[in-house]
Amino acid sequence: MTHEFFMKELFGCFLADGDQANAFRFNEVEAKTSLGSLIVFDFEGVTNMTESFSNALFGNLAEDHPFDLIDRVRFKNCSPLIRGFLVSAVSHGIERGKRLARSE
Amino acid sequence: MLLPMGSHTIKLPQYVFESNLGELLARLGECRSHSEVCFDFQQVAYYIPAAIVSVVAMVNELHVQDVRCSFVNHKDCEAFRYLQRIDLFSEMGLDLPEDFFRRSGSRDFVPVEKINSATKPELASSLGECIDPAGGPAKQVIEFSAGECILNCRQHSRAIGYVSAQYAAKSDFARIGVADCGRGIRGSFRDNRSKFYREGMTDAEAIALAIRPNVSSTADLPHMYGKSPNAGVGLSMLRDLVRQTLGHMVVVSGSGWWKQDGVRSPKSDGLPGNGFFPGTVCSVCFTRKQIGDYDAMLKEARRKVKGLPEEESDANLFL
Repeated sequence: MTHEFFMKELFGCFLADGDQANAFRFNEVEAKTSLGSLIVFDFEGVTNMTESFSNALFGNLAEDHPFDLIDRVRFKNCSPLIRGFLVSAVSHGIERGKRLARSE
Repeated sequence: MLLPMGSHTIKLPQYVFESNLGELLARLGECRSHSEVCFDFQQVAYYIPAAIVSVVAMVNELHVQDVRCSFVNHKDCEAFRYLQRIDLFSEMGLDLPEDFFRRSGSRDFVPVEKINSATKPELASSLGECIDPAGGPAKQVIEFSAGECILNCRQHSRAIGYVSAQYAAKSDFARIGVADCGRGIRGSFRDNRSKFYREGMTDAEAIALAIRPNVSSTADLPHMYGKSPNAGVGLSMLRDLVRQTLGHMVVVSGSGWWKQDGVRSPKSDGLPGNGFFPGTVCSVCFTRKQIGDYDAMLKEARRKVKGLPEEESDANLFL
């Protein structure tokens, strides 16, 4: 099953609030991935983001699923700028997640 | 004009820029030990946004502490109209008649706004639009920076904050100022029992720590959503964006200050005269013409701050 989140509808053109992103990750995204859904984040109309937002949502998500993120999420309609935020958050989240896994 | 009797009078300086912001804040901090304070605006000619919001934050803090505040010579000072338009007086509870029309749409400043739990990201966007109404890279840089500063204030201060922004065409400086009279950066490390906190840590050390990459006072806290939202890179990214535009950044908290001028190494010390400002102030200043490709600036900042190479190994994640 696939579930699509339209980020502009949810958070506006500028994704800024890290607290809101963190709550959304926990309440909406993780709840759906735990049921086996593939999550698609659609960034149509999103023009900017903060590092706080991208780390709280995508960095933390990647940290929790460093080995199987590809089975759980996809990103759609990303401008090069938004793609930069996502690549950075995800790659560093995966790095943190793998480090944590090695230390356990 | 006669000054009210029995008051501690603070003669506000003529100009406040990044270089003497600490002096103003040290003097504002002295107000807390008095039961009545008179703010004398006689000399005031120009203040950067961080100075304006610091005065607003301090006066409102004094109101909360039942310290009686009065204001003199404000209507006669050189900056009166500007300070009125930027809402300094109204945000301090001083309602003055206005003999001008407030323009909507693009301006070269954004009046003082409160930062509290209800503050929305649109505020950061409006700050960006003020600096760059065309919606170019300068708008995005300011939007990003204001977003990070506002969130920091909301997450860490435990107090109401104030923000304002301004573009000074003559110097080509785009500035954001955020101030609060909350617990301060050291207080945030202490109260959150951060692993970075140690007894005897100075405010200047706490500021320097907060600006270091991957340091957040809340990163290790048990969190209701499983993980802290903070990775501790926001301020570090901001610092590097400022460096890239040859701008200025000043952070003052408690008895300490930290400052970066362009590409020079940052400096940090105690406030002048062993001063103390009861809260945190952040002043961010970009040289607008130095703002080029926003995406390239972010990549450069991430390379410096996060260190690790950004591999495109996740290409399959993108549809």
